[in-house]
Parts: sequence; C-alpha cells; structure tokens
Amino acid sequence: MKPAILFYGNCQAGALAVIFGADPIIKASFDVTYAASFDDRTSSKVTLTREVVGTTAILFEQHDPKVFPMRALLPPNCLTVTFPSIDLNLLWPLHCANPFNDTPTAETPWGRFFYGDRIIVDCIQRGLSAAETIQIYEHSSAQHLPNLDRFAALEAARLASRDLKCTVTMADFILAHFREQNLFWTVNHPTMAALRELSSRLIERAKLRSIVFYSVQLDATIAGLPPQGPLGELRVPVHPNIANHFKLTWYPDEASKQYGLRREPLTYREYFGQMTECAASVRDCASIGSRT
Amino acid sequence: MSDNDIFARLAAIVRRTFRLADEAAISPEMSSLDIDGWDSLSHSILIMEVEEEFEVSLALDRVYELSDIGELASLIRSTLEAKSQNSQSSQI
Repeated sequence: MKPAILFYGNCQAGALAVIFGADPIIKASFDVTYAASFDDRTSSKVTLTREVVGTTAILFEQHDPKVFPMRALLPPNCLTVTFPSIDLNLLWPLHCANPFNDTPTAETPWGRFFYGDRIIVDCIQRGLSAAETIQIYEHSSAQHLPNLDRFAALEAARLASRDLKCTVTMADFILAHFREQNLFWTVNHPTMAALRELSSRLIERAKLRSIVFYSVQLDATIAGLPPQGPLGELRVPVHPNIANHFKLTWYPDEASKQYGLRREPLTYREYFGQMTECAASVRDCASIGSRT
Repeated sequence: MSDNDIFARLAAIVRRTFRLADEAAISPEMSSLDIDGWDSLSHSILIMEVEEEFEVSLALDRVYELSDIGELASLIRSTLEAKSQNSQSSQI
C-alpha cells in the first residue's frame, strides 16, 4: 500500500486531487484521495477508512470551520498543509443564492442556475413576470451595482484575512492577476489558471515531506487535462460594467456563446433570459402546488 | 443613534440580505452558523449593505474578524462615534 496524499475541503480540494492524481510522478509514489467537507453530489462518495488516514503522508486541508474530522488518526510524521478556499465576489457583486433554481438532475446535480442574481431573484419574489424581470435587468442592473472600488477593498481584506489562517496563501496571486487572466468560472469555481497556481504552491510545500515533488512536471500534467479544468462545467457571465470598471482584458465578446453549461453554451443575454424564465416557472409551479 | 436603533436597523439589513422573513428573530449572539446562506462571500455583501445604510466605512481589518451580529453592531456604533467626533473637530 502506497502512502496517501489526502485532500480535504470543498469541490476545489476535489479539483486539486484530480490534478495531483493525474501526475505520473505523484501517482507512482502516492495514492491521492479526496474527502469532501460538504455534501458532494457531483462525485462518488469516498468513505475514509482508518487505514487510509493512518498511511497519510500529506494532508492538504482547506481552511474551513469544519476541520478534518479524523485528525487524531493521522500518523505523527504526516505533513499538514492548509490552504484557502479560492473564490472572488468581485466579478459577481449581484450574486446570491437562487431559491428559484431548477430541479437537479444526474447531468446537472446542482441545477442549471445554482448561482442566483439579486435583481432577478428580487423581481421574481415580487411576482413580476419573466418578461418584466428581463426588462428590468437589462435597463437597471448597472444602477444596482455597488461601489466597486469599495467592494474591491473589502474583497482584498476578505482574502487576506483568510490567508492569515493558512500555510499556503493565494490572495496575492488572485488580486494581482484577475484583470489579465480569467481565474474564475463562478464566484467559487476557479479556472485551471488559478488551480495551477495553487497546485504549484502546494507542491512547493510538499517538498518538505518528499523529494518526489522536485520532479513533478505540473504544466505537462495540466496539459493532459481538459483545458476548462475539473470545475469548468458551468460559467456564469460577468456583467459588462464590471468588466469595464476593472478593465478585464480577457473578457469575452458579450455576443459569444460561452456561458452556462459547457455542453450547451449561451450568450450573456440568453443566459440571463433562461435563468429568468426558469425562476418564473419554478415560482409559478410552487404557487400552483401550494394552492392544490 | 441609540444602540437599540443601530441593532434594529442592522437586523433589518440582515433579514433583507439573507432573505429572511420580516418577523424572523435576530439576536446579537447570532452568527453565520445560525443563518442559512451567510458565508464569507455573502458577508461582503452584508458589509456593503451596512456601509450604505449607516453611511460609514467600516475598518477593513475588523470586518472579517467579527464573531456575531452583536460585534458587528458594536463596530457600527464605534465607527459612527468616530465619524461624529471627526465631524465635530472639523467644525471647531
């Protein structure tokens, strides 16, 4: 039995496990395992055994209120490396939970519109039709954006505050590069560019535990994976005013079809149109259900 | 502004931000663990709403270290007091 490398955390930890598990050098010396810190509907459940935890050489633990629950079973020489969740509100300041998401399916375990938009959700809650909501979104969404410079300062403080609790940090990279590189598909789903940087920083730390990590060819490993990365199934559009304000050089043409689910990409307008139609339909179905 | 006024306005912002019912009870001891959807991402939205409502800029080194709603209310109060003192001293 090879020693284990254990990733514990949210879906980002799962994505890192995919990258590490795809590397031939790492695979030859370690079994890479991912244990979710949340109810993960998207991958098969991994039940950690005492044996696996007992052979863990490195625990990569994402900083989270829910700490790794089997810490007492780790061997004394296990290296623990903590890292932050990498997320960014800045590009989606109207983001909110979506109470009008559609029904999860096997293909879309979190629903097509898991990520809500405050303007759309507010309109639907007020009983407006899909057409009225779209009209309001198109004409007034820019007015509802917060003070973006203040928001950027708050986000920088948030990322820095979380970095303080971690061995490996990421705020510096995110804040230095989000304008020139597309680092996020959604508020909490990093692109391969962000995952590559975090992987690289974790590998640097892992060198303290094993010389194997000096031989890892991270870029070659990543080249063998789908370019969108393990978390690129869904892309939420960035508001054009946000792109203008922050001068996002990677911002795609609004009319291009690249939002929503990767297998059926939509334009910016189509995405919010479908999200609104879905929300109105979910609301109306719930309303009919409550009357019958 | 009294502590009660600050807390009542803050409670209304919390209800609005996290889409709680108008009658939902909000107490100073409540934290992100007690309110659905209150995570580090939505905390930033809450702080922006608070700053707009009270017309203040909260200390960036404090806003992500708060344990509960009571601590946020205290930070708002101390920020309002500092703003008031600055305003008075600038008039002298």
